[in-house]
Amino acid sequence: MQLNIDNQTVTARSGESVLQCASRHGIAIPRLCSHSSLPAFGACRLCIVEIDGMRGTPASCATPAVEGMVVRTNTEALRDLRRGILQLILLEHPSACLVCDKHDLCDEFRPAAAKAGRTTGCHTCNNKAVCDVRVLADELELTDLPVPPVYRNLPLERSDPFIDRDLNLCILCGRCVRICKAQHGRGTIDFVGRGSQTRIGEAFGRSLSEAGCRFCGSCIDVCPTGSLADRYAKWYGAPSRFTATTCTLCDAACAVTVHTTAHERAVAARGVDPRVPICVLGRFAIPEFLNGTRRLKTPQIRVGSRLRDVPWQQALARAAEHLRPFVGDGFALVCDTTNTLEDRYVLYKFTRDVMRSPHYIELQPDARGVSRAGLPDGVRAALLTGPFVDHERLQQLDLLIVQDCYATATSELATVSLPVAVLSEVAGTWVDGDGRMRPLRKACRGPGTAKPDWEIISELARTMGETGFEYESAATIARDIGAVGARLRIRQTEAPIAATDPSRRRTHFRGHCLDDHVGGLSELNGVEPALATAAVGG
Amino acid sequence: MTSLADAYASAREHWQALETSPVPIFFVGAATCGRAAGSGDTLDRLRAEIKARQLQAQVIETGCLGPCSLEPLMVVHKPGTPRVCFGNVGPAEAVQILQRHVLGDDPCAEWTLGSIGSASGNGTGTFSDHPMMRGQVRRVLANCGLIDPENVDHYLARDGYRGFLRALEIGGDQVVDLVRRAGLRGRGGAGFPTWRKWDTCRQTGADQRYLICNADEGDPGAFMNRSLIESDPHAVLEGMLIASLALGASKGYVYCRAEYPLAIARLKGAIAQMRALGLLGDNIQGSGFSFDLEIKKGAGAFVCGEETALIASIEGRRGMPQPRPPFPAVSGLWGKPTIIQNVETLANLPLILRNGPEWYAAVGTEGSKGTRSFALAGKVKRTGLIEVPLGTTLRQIVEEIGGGSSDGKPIKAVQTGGPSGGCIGAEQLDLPVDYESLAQAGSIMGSGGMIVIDEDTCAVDLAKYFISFTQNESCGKCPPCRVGTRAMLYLLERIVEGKAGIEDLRRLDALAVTVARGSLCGLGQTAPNPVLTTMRYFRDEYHAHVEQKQCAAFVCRPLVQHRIDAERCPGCTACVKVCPAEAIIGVRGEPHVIATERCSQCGSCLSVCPPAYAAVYRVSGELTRYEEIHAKKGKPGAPTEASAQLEAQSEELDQCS
Repeated sequence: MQLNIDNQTVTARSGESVLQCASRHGIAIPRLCSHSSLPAFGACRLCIVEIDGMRGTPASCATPAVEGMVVRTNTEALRDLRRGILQLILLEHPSACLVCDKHDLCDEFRPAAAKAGRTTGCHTCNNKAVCDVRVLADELELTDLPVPPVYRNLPLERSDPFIDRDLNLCILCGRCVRICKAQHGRGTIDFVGRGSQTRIGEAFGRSLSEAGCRFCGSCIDVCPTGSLADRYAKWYGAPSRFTATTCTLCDAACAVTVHTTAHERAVAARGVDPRVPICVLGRFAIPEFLNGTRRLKTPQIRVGSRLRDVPWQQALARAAEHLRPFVGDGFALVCDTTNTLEDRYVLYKFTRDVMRSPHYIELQPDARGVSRAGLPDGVRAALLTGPFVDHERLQQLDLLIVQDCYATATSELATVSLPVAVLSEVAGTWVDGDGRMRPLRKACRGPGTAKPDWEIISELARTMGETGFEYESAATIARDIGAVGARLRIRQTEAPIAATDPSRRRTHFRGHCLDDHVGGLSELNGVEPALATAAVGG
Repeated sequence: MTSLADAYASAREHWQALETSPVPIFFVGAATCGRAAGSGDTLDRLRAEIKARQLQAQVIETGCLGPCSLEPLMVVHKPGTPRVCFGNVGPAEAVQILQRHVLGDDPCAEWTLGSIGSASGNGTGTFSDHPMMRGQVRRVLANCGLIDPENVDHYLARDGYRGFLRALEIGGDQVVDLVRRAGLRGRGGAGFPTWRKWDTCRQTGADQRYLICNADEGDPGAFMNRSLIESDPHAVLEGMLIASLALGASKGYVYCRAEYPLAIARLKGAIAQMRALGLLGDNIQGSGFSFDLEIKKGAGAFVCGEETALIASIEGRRGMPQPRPPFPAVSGLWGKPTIIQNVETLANLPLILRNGPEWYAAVGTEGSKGTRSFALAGKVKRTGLIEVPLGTTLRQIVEEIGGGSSDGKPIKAVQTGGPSGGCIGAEQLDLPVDYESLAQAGSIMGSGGMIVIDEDTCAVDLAKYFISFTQNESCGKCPPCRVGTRAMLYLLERIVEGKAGIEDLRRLDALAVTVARGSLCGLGQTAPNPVLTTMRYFRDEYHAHVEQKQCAAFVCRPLVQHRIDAERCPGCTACVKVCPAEAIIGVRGEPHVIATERCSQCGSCLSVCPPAYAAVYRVSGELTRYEEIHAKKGKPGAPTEASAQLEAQSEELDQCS
């Protein structure tokens, strides 16, 4: 199917819209409501074009490409009309900065204001770096508005976890409404009211949680303005790096893109497949869990009744020294399968070859992510990668070494406590619920001097004078154990169960209750009584 | 189920009995319009009187005969004489007519409008010779007001469903051909040739097609569809049968606004009667053609009259228009080919089938065939529902049928097509009313609203009214309509407040073009029409508002000042007493003075100033106007009659939504 767009002959695929066809051939048409993962809507009226034989100026997003069509996308009349329409859009959007003749200088010399209560212009907007409206205003060289803009002065909506909504910035493109319908098949949010009172909202003035929102965050991802924001990520500015990795918070192993700042701090994670939502944990829990203030940052050794920060070398030396007397079946190592294959291999190898113990205990978390274990009788020393064992039992031990990501009551009992990097702080191979290998890629730094489990154990083994632990990276271990060919779960046929049914969502990771570390989750679980968590773990 | 042949026979009998009834019959117009005019009271009183006098008489509630300004209307059958139509029949008049005309020999000429039929009775002319009826050609409305809309026998006796039976006989292809030859065009506004729309739909190879009757009449001041459904529901439903036969649609919906409860009740009743007669359901009349109907109530959104929004509404989604293509005729309701026709378009179909396309096309113009009903309202003597051949001039409608200006002031313009239409200046009154001519004049036929305005209506204020209507009714989807109409309203408000500069007119022009060209659906694309046309025909008024701060109609309050002529004012203190702002200073016997800075320009003083003095006058810019305005005639500066009517309707709309 051939058509002519701006005097170029281009070939359209069947079912393609004029806009899609033009974009594929590098012909840029301005747009706001259109989005690659959403069906055409035709609302913003910016992608209008002239087509021979068609009345008026049809929206190219909603016009199917037809053989022999002659399309013009950038005539003077179209540019005028687009400018007129964008001006109208900006009458309902804090647009002072967009039409300010000093905005270039301002961008260059004034630092962006952070943590403004209300967004009154781009200067105080958390979406500034990635705003579609801004780009368009520049492109169409907007310098004025026909009548004074209206600030709707709607209250900021912060009564729901994770999502901040400032509908004063909303341009009613409907992307959020459409992605919610497309991904969840339901209308948690929709257009409410009519005329200039039209806004996006829930039926009967309920909150998102009450309206059954699953907090997949897809609406935030598609919002072209700063109207919908990830409460946690919004003030970190534009991410400088995006790393596709696997979420290991449950067995679904969804592929997520982790956003990292210039300081290698993870600030957000997003689903990869636009057709299905991910769950609230994958979307919102990862950065908050990783950046928790109670993360273990430095190795610690027990001095009297207290744990004291020490350099790695000293901590490992102390651990090695304490472990030596327990070589044999008086030692046990407990971990769970949220660790990478590489970790688990090294942990197992350490238990068998270094500690010569049969007690390598690898726990399978239950449906809610909870891993609990007892220790075999006769075990006097243990190395735990998380708070998996009852305190009573732990108190009977002569030696406890804990390597974990968070300080817990368990780590408080330890003789040596070692900080671990987890989730997107580590690289490796992971096995999902279906037994498929999924890659973990390192997206950000661990806190302080935290290291991956495999690295800690390898160093510990070497400190104990063992050989066979000269691993440089997870990849060398993967080669050793033949863990190759791991692939991200990019395409999903349906939404992961945790994204649609909150009662099937995990509450624990590596023995830690996620609620304790991710603020919004406890709030969310408050309105989802089914999720009330059992008082288990650290 | 009675067989149709039996039904026709008994209907004829029934009708005959009615025609030659030995007892008096009172036909009272009791459609919504009649009830609003008080026919409910008339009916109650009449029934009570008949009961009290133990008379042998029948009372039948009919639909609407048309002349709203003469309502309540009553047609009286007095045995042995021609039926006579009376106007302005309140309860008291009804009793008088009963006593003097029916029981006595007094013709009651003071209320007589004319006799029904060709025979002249009562000493007056026939009703069809009444000035309001003379210029009309009543085809679609032929039964309205003359039959009992709830009695299917009446419809059958007047050849009801014969058109459909004919359609069954000749088949769908022939029906399409007849409609093509008749030259029928959609009566909903755009005037698309009906057969062509059908043809597109028939060419789709779908397993299921739908027919929707669009009865979501929402234009302020328009009530043609309501009257028609209330007065003759079967005509519309028969049209639906014919259309669905032609389309091969097996399921139809009537999308009727919930603000029309009586119309909905009449439709429900009529559908039940159709079912009983075997005119609905599977294998209708053994023809193999199956069709069923459902009524879907609209929830009060004006935009749901737009085809794609209407479909969304039926599907249970928010009524928001979608871009076309795909056109509903190809992919509409539930993704199936769907034809949406206006009430009046459908009611034309039985006529075409019954009388043939040549008969149908005998009236009208080259491009616009047949007749068209209009809701004539505003500043004319005789308002009401009328039906005229297409091509009739505006002057004929306004001056002959409408009787010219209601208060003797020159007619300034005619507004057609509701909020999507435009104002046509008085100098264009000789414009023939057909699709092309109206479009050329910048307006549209629309669904048939026609509002006459005189010099007491300010063109800017009228445009502002319509823009505020569309602004409120915008679905909010696309920015040109949602924000553009509000921006236009803002500028218009500045103009009527005298705060606008000349550059605001340029801005208004530019905005109107952006909204018209940029909007997604018809609502937005046509929303600027009232502004564009008033700016075209009354640009000087806009300039006067902006430059001289002057409103020649004395409507725009911020531009009007009330003053007291010291030479005329004897100091009666009438105005001092009513002034709500306590802005009038003066003691008895001395000329009063209005303290301008306190005055809210409410006009109370003007309305109470005794006509003998007429001391209160108004100033706007360089204009001065002395006038005797009596309180009962409404306050100056208050909305004009037409706009008050519109206001009331839109308020009603708001309440229902």
